[in-house]
Amino acid sequence: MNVLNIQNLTKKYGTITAVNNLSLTIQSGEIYGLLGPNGSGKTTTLGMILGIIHPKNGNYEWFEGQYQEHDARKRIGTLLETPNFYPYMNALQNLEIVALIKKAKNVPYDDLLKLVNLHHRKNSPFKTYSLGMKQRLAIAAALVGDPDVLIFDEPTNGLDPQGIAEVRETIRSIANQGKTIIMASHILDEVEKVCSHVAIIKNGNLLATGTVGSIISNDKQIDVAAENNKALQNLLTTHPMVSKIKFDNQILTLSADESLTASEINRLCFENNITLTHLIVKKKSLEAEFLEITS
Amino acid sequence: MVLHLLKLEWKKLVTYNLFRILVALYIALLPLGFLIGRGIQLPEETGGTISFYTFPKVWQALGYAGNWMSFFFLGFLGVLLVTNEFSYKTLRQNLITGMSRKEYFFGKYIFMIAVSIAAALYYAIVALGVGFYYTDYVIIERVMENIDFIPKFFLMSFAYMNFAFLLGILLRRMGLALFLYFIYTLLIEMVLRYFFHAKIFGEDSASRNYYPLNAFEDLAPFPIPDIGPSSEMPNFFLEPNLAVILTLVYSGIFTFIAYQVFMKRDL
Repeated sequence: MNVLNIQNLTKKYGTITAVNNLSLTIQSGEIYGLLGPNGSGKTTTLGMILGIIHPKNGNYEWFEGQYQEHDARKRIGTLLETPNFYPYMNALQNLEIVALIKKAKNVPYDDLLKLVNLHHRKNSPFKTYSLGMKQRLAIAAALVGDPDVLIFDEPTNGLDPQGIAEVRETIRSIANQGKTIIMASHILDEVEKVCSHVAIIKNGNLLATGTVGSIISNDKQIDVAAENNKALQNLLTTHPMVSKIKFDNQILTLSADESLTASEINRLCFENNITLTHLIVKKKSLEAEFLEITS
Repeated sequence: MVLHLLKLEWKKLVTYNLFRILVALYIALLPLGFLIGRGIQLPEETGGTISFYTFPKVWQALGYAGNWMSFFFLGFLGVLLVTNEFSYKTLRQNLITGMSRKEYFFGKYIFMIAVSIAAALYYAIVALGVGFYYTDYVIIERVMENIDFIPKFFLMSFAYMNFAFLLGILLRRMGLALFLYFIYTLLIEMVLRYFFHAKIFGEDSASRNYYPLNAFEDLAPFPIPDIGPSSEMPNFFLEPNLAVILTLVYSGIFTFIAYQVFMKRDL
C-alpha cells in the first residue's frame, strides 16, 4: 500500500523556493530517509505533509486517502525538529495529552516510558529534563496510539554519542515491528545505517531517489596522479570502465566500475608512457556519492 | 466532540500554576473587592452605599466590580490561552498529533464560553448572597428586576476574553499581547474616543461611545447613585440594548478575524 504520495509539492517564502515541485511515493514497511544538508527543505516538506505549513502548489495523500487529513495524522507518530511539550507537566501528563488528541485507548504509558528509559522520571516536570530526555520523551509520544507510520526529523540532533546510539537502536527496533518510518537527516551515516530507501534533497529539489543500495552505486573511487596529468586525463577519459573524472588539487578522481583494478590502470598507463605518482582505490561511500550528487 | 475538546483544554491548564492563580484571584477578589467598597461613604439622599448591596441595585454594582475582574483576569486568560501554545510550540504539536485546525480553534472557543458561563454563574451566586445578606425585606420581584445582568455578565466576560484571544492570535507573544490589551483598553481607545473622534465628529456625537471596549464595559456600567427622579443617564454611557448589540457585532468580527488568521497561517 502507498503510505504517502506526494505530488509536485512547492513552497515559497518570498523569492526563496524552499521546496520545488517535489514528488515521491513511500510504500508501507519502508524506512525512508530524506537526506539533505541543513536548509535543503526537509523540514518544510514534512511540515507540509503534516498540515502545519500551507503548500503553494501540489498535493499529498496519506494512506491512499482512506482517512480525513487530520485523522490520518492520528495514525502517524511524529518527532518534528525539537520536542514540543507543556513544560509544567510531567512526562505522564504530557503523554496523556497526546493520547487524548489521538483518541488512543489503553495506552501502555509505563511500557513506553520504560522503552525510552524515562520511567524513573515520569513524575518530574518536562522543563527539568535534559535535551536527551526531552528527545526520548518525544519518541515515546510518537509511539502513543501504536501508529502505522513514524516520522523522525533529525532524531539524533544535539544528542551525545550514547544518546545517538540509543535513539538509532530504538528506531531500528520500531522498524523491525514492520512500521513505516520516514526519517529526515543530514547525516549520511545515519541514513545509510538505518534506512532502506532514500531521497536526496538539495535547495528544495529532489536530486535522487531509490533504495539505499541503488543510490550507493557499485562504482569505486580511484584517485590517480602523474607528472603529466593532462595526458593521464586524456588517456583515462576514453577508458570504457571509467564513468567520470574529476580533476582537483593535482589529483584525478575517477568513478570506475567495480571490476577495474589498480594493476590494470597501472599497466595501461605504463604502456602509454605515463608513470603514476599516486594511486589509491577507495570504496565509494554514501558520503562521496552524496557530494557528487549535490554538487 | 464538544466535551472531548473541553476536557483537552482543561487538562492543558489545570496543572498550570498561573492559570490556578488567576482563577483563585478571580474567585477571591470578586466578592472581596466588592465588599471593600462598603466602606465608601455616600451622601444620604443617594440612599447611601448600602443601596449598592441590596436588591435590585446589587446586580449592576457587582456587575461593575466584576467588569474589572473579567477585564483583567479573563483577558489575561484569553491571551495566555493561545500565546503559551505558540511559545511552547504545542499548538503545532497538537495539529501534528492529529487535531484539525478547526477543531483546535473550536476547542479554544468552547473553553472560553465555558469559562464565561462559570464566571456568570459565580457572579450570580455572589450577587444573590450579598443581596440576601444586606436586603432587609426581600421582595422577589425586586430580586428578579435586574436579573438580565447575568447573561450580560456572561457576554461581557466572553467579549473581553475573545478580544484578548484575538490579540494573542495576532501577536503570538504573551507580553506583547497583554501590553496591547491593557494599553488599548485603558488608553488608546480613550484617546480615540475623546480626542480623535470628538475632533472629527464633534464633542457630543453619540457615536464616540460605539467603540468595542466601551461597549463591553457598558454591559455592566458604573452604577450612578440615584439622586432623584430627574437624574439622566450621562452621555458617555451606551443605551443598554445597544451595548448588547454592539458587543455581539464586535465579538463576531473579532472571532471572524481570529479564525481567518488562524486558518491561513503557517505554524
